[in-house]
Amino acid sequence: MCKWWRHAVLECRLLFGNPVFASLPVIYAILFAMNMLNSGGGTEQNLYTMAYKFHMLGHTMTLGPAMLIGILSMRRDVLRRSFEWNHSLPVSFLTLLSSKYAVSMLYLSLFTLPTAFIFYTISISQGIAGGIAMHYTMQFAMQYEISYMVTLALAMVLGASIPNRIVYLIGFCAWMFGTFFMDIFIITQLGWYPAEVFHLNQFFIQSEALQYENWSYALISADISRSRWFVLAFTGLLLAVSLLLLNRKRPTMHVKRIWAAAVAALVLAGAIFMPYGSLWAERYEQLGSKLSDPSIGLTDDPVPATIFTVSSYDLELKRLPNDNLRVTARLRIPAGELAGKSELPLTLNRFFTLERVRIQGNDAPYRRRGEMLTISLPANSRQEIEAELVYFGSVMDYRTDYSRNDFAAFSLGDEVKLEGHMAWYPLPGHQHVYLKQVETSSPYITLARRYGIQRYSVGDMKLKVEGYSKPLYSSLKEVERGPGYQIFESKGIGQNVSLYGGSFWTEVHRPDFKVRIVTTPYLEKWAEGLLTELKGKYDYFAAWIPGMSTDIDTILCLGQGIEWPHAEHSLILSSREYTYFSSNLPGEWVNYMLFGDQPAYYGNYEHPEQDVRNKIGSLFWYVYYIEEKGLSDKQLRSAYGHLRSVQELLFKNGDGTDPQNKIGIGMARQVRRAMKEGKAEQVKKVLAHYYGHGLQFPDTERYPAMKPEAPVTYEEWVKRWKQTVGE
Amino acid sequence: MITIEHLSKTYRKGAWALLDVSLQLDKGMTGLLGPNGAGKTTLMRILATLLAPTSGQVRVNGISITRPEEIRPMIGYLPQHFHIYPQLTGRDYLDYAAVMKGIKDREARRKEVARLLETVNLQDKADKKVRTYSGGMKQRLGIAQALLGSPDILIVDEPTSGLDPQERVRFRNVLTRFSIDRTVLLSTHIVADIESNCRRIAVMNMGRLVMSGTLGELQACGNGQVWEAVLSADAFSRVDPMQVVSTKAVPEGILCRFVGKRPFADAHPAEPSLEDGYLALLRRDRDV
Repeated sequence: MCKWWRHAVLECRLLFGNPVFASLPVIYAILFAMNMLNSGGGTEQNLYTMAYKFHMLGHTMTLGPAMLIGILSMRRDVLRRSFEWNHSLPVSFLTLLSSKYAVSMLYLSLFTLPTAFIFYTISISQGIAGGIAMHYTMQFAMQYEISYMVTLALAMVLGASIPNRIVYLIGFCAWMFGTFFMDIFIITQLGWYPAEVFHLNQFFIQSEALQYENWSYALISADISRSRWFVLAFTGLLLAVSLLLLNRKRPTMHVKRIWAAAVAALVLAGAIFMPYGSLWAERYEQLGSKLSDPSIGLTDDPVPATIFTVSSYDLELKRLPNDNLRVTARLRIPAGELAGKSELPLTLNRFFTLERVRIQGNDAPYRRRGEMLTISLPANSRQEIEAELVYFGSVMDYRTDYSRNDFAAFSLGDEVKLEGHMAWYPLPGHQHVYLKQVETSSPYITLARRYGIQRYSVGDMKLKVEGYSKPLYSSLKEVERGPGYQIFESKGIGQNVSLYGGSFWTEVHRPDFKVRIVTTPYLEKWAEGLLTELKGKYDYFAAWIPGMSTDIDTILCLGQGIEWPHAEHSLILSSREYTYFSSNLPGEWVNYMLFGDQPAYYGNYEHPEQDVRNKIGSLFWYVYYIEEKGLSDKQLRSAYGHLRSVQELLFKNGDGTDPQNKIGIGMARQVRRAMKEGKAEQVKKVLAHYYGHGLQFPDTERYPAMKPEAPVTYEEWVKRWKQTVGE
Repeated sequence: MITIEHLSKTYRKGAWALLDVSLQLDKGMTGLLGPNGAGKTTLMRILATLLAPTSGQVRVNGISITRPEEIRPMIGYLPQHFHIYPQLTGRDYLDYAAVMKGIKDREARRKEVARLLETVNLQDKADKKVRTYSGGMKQRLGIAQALLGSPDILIVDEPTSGLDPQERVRFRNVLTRFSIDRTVLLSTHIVADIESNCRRIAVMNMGRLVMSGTLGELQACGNGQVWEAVLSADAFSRVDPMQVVSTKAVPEGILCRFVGKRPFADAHPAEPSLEDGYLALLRRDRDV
């Protein structure tokens, strides 16, 4: 130990005595602190995301010194002939190697510790709970340390095995290959996702899995922990190989022991790779079985399903301690819906195993083919059908389509994403949940939702969830919340219902507003500002739209995880992806509250005079921006993206003389002139009239039971305008 | 004591660096002589446990070289090319080497380091960084390092290269003192180093041991092989320079000394020196 310590002291002196090496951690800490102090709100500028993005590049850069130090520590003495005197000393290479490794790690920890301290301190100063800040601090710090450990060990192997100076070039290539090249080409472009474990620092620049707080570490905790254990074992293997290589440089009587250690390290690394490999084997097995399943349709010609009405769903979902879900689904199908049919066709995702199926209280035979479930009905049944299904299973539905590498559905701990289109409850008819593309060099499975072929009934839904330690959020109204359970219920809705949850999610409320924002801790302060702005806009419209009411009471503002922003009954799902600048999120949300999701919204650019509902919808915002903000048309045009869009009115195609432009610009001019003349009340009256008429654009394809709205022709608009506002 | 039996070493390219060397090194100082490429350094590296032999046996104080970890604590080694960390002071470096040699007690270590610094005449520079040392000073530090812990076996490879004459004399005396009751193997191609220190001598050539014995025996190898003649400047210019081992200006012309066959009829035999014996031995070996 005395020799180990003395050599470590020497290594410290050599490493910390080098002014370049000594100054690097200081410079790094200063850069990190400056970056973090510039963090603000928003999905991209919050402290967590800013820190992660800094680490993506910053930490990757620090692996360069790690690589250099590893190689240098070998070449400095143990590999140099002129330092042969130290080979004649009664000191083992294990002593030298381990002390060099420990001191190099100590040095590299100087990159970790200040970043951890700065991140934690600023997190606390921003009001983040200590436990949450510490959780992320530890995740970052652990990732730093593990990355340094493996990089250093790799560098030592290179240093011990390549005596030529070309080792520096090879080390540089290993650094670049193990980070950027592997990230961009091997993992992302080739789609070899299991190779992530060999990425040197795991702060991927191409993957967003951990860039945002939502559904990040907790969701892939198994990947992370198994991968880290493997990396540690692999580090051990690299060090054992280094030791082996060094001991080939001089005779030793412990050859067998050293070989045994190397072989043991190899076996250990192989054994520890198994759990990690099995995760991926399971995922690829899932994908493979879907690709070979003839019940999954092709993306080339997806066919919409024929459905029937389900008058009510009564769902009970219970999370068991092993993350298995046990669901009891009771469906009522009105008499006559299946008249003359001997079978009840339903769709239930394959990740569930059916335990029991009952029709009218009696066990009923059934058969399954992929997602398609067919239940035999009693003969000559003319009454309302009551079906009860009990099923269970764990949900981690992996997908890799379109360069994605994530989960389409999951329930792991408190991380939950169960969307209606995934058929986590029985959907009416035989529907596709997945589609496949096989006539390509890389066949893939994608979600049928992308192709808009799923159909939903309209009716009542009740859902009880149990077993989660944190609240879940559903597109159904939450009617009761107690310890360990929640009840959601809505009547007469499109039965496409989702359920979401996250372990660190937090609710932002205002006592004077019914809407809450559910967000992640690092977005909380920013969300408070958004909620205030949202209330201001909401109050503006509520003041003059007599029938304005909205079911929406919850906004999930999570930064990532929602494929595209949309409203679903009482829930707005907001996302960073496919959305506008975050400065206008409250505008988007109020638009959802005014008009809903407007799923069938269309431009009708060829014959705009046939339906001007989209332009009338934009006029609400046009009036708002004139009255509340005093903006001119020019300002509105130039602020595109930062405001709720009024481009349906102001958008110019070429010289602005086509009918689309003429109608839009004409309506805007009408309104601005009237407002200027003090006829704001009359304008609002016209708009309120059409609000009552309906500007929701309901999706009658996906929800065949919904009634379509009547279009509003330009002629009708002009007539109404003249009646209310005048010429 | 070191016993070497039928020791051979070949490198990857197949040439024999050592071929069937058998030798016994008793207490006292043994000089190892040989031209460049004779295999001296290979032999010393094997004895210093830095290199495994291809075949043969070596025992150091009765311990087989196949157990190098047990031999290393007994050895002090100074390689031919010696570098150390330039950031350290001489004292720091020796302290480090002392710990590595197992001297755990701080006070004992301090005293030992101070003693050795004085021995190699570096006490005044002990606290200067090694990067400020001259080549000779570094060499002296290397010698001190080899002597640390008073090892039973001292192996020094070309230790006097780079030393000025005064330091060389000092070093010889240090080694002579040190070799009492210890085994010292001194490799050099400077015959004077051996002449003044060594009891025994071993000569290597082309990987083989060509002679092992006393200084007198090596000197005797030159008997009948050493010649002297006084040549005019003109005659000297026509002589094969490879034949001449030394020259000296005398009033009659140039006194030349030759080793080998009689170069001229008027050359007269001379008393061989140790160096003459060594050269005669190498020539005889080459001719064989």
